[in-house]
This record gives sequence, C-alpha cells and structure tokens, in this order.
Amino acid sequence: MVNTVNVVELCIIGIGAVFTVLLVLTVVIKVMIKLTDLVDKKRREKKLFLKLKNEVFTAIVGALILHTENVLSSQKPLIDRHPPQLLWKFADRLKNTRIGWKETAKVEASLGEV
Amino acid sequence: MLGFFETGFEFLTLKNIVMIGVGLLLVYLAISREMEPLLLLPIGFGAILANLPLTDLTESSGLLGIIFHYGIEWEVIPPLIFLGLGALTDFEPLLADPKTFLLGFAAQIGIFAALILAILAGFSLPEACSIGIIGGADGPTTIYLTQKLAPHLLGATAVAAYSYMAMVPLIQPPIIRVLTTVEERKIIMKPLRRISRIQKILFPIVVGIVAILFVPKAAPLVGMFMLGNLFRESGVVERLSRAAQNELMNILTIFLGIAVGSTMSAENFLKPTTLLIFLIGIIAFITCTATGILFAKFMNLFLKEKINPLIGAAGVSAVPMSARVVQKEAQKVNPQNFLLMHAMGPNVAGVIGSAIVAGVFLGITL
Repeated sequence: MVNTVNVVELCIIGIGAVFTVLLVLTVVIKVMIKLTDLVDKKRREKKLFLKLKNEVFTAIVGALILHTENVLSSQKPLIDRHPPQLLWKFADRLKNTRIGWKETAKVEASLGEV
Repeated sequence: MLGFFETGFEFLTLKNIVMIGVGLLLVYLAISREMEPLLLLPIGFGAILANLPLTDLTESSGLLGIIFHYGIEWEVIPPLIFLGLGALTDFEPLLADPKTFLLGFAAQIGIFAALILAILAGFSLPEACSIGIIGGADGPTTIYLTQKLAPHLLGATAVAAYSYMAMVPLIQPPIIRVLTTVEERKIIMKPLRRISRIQKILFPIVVGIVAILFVPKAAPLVGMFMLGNLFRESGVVERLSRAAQNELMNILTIFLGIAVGSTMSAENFLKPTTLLIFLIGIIAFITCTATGILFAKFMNLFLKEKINPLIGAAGVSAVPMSARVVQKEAQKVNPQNFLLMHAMGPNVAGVIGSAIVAGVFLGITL
C-alpha cells in the first residue's frame, strides 16, 4: 500500500516538473520568435537598402549619360530637349524613398511578410 | 480427431457473452453515434474476437497476439501514431501566442488529482498513473503509459480515454458555464500574428531537444511528434508528410484498435476495478477541464490584454474537438467572437503537455 503523503509529495513534484518544462519551453519559443523576427527585419532592411542603392546608381549613370549626350551633341542642348523636371522628379523620388525605406521595413515586419 | 467436432459453443461462458455485448456496444457507439469511430470500431470488434472461445487469436502465436506483442508490447505503435499526429498538427496558433503553453500545462493538473484519487481507491502507484493519464484525453499516450506501467488495465483505460474524448461536446460545456461568467466568455482576443516558415521549422527542433533533455522518458512520444511536425513544416519531404498523415496513421490505427480490443478478455475487463477506472477517468477529465479554465482566469490577473478563459478548457488534448467546443460556447454569448484559432494553441500544447506528464510518470515509477 502506497503512503498517501508520499504520493501527494510526488504529485507536487510532478506538477512542478511539468510546469517547469512547459515554462522553459514557453520562454525558449518566445526567444526563438524574437530572434527570428530580428533576423527577418534585418534581412528586409538590407533588401530595401540594396534596392535604394541600385536606384541611386541608376540615377547617377542616367544623369551622366544625359550630360555626355548633351556635351557631344550638335543639336539643341539636351537640357532644352529634356526638361530637367524628369531628373528633379527622380531626385525627389529618391529622397522620399531614402526616408521611407526604414518605415517601409517596419510596416512590412508588422505585417509578417516573409 | 474429436477436435474436428469441437465448437466454441460449449466453451462460451457468461462472461464471454457479456464481453461480446460490450464489444457490440462499442461498435454500435462507433457506427450509430459516430463516437471516435476510427478507434472504437476496431476496439469493439477486437473485443468480440478476443472473447470467442477456441480461436487462439490472443495467444502469443495468434494473429491478435502477434499484433499486440510487436505493436504494443514493443511500444512501436503509439510513438508512430504520434509521428502521424505531428504531421497533422499545425502549431501556428501556439507559436503566435506561446503563453498558451501554460494553459496546456494547467489542463494536465487534473491528471495528478485523479492519481491521488486512484491511490485512495486502492490502486498501486503505476496503476494510478495509468488511470490518471485518462484525464489528458490523449489515446496514444494513455496506451503507451498503461502498457509500460499497468498492462492489465490497458483495455479499460483505452476505452475510457477514447470514449471520453468522443464525449467532449457533452462533458465540457456544463463545466465551462459553471466556471465562467457571461462577461468573461465575451472577451474578444486580438487576432494572432503570422508566423514565418523558418519559425515553424525551428519549433519542432527546439521543442524536441529541450523537452527531451528535461524529460528523457518522454523521448519516444515527443520525439516522434516533433519529427512528424518537421516533415510537415520543412516542405521538402511532402511524400513522407502525406504518408505519415494518411497511410501510416490509417494502418497504425487499425492495428492499435484491434490490439487494444484483444486485451479486453472477460478475465481482464469484467472486474469491479473497471467501473472504478471509468469513474476516476471521468473525474480526471472534468478536473483537467476545470484546472485549464481556472488557470486562464488566474493568468488574467497578471495580463494587460486579457485572454478569454474559455480557451483554458481546450488545454485537454482532444484535438480539435475541444477547440470547437470553446468556439461554440464563445459564439453563444457573442456571435462575432471567433476563438477557434486561439483555442487551438492550448489544444496542441496539451498534446505536448500530456506526453511530458507521461514521461514524468515513467521517471517516477520506473
């Protein structure tokens, strides 16, 4: 016949053991999710930053080409044929993109997009 | 020569007839009432076969004896069923709100209460553990633990576990209504966040390693459960995942059912202790539901964003019936309240919780 008091003690230890394991699992999973979210966010920011770099590079190369054509061309200067609005618009867009990409990364992270 | 003229009639006892009746009852419940038919049908028919005399089916060289020996005694079938269950389980609701792991724990407290009750009723510690685990509402865990600790109680505990799992929609609602107020049931929880693929892949690996390091005896169940889930979430072994969810589960369910049914001989089953097992089993189940709800209410004392205490009732491992009962009860007081996915978190956590409890019981008794 098993001693009831011992069994109650065993049950308390058992409940404590199960609680400890599941509490540890809760904490470990929370930490895992936070770390993976952080890695995801960094990856997303890096992706957007690379996109921005590409656009800046394209803009510089485009401006150089236009300028070169303008210098070499015997026709009406390109500045007259291609009003600068396009370039300024592009520069503005780059400026907005530069400011906006961090916010964009935050919004995308909150939506949980991979 | 005389053996040719032997029939089973002269060896049929009253106890055999009663057990055949029990088997027929289980078959009726499975077919007519659709109560856990996948298990109760083969268990019921296995019980009928086991009680027909002179068949030798349950002998060590008989068909049912061989299936029982290599499937249950060798502890192969329950862990492999957990493999299939892992492949079927989506842990996203649990990952989206990891604190529901604690609700999975809370619903297992009732198991220990039932254990104490079983000891007071005169059962030994291993027998009491096998009876208490019925409250976890997890058939394979019940069978796995009972086979290790009290194999002579296998038929009774398995039938009790699966019967009560099928009766979740009848047993849980009254307990829910008694322990919660209408205002509490109306609590709306915020939508769950999305989980990335990498998080779903890491989950079974992390949980498997951590849980088994803490409770090594739970390794067969937890390990297979997590492996099955990894098959599902990795996305690169679609064939294995589909096989685990379908073919493997179906084959193992057949073998499990008839093997368990084969243990329901008159000598093993028709004892006063069987009724006691059923009684303590239902008390365990009720207590597990109650402790889940009460723990959720306790957690609300410390949480800024309150959880609906109904989801605590889903901490028993009856997946997904318990979660559906919670959803239904919530919508009775507020039709706009969709709690199903929130309830699935503790529901699947309960499966892990009951496997951990089984491991703890094995550590205590073996």
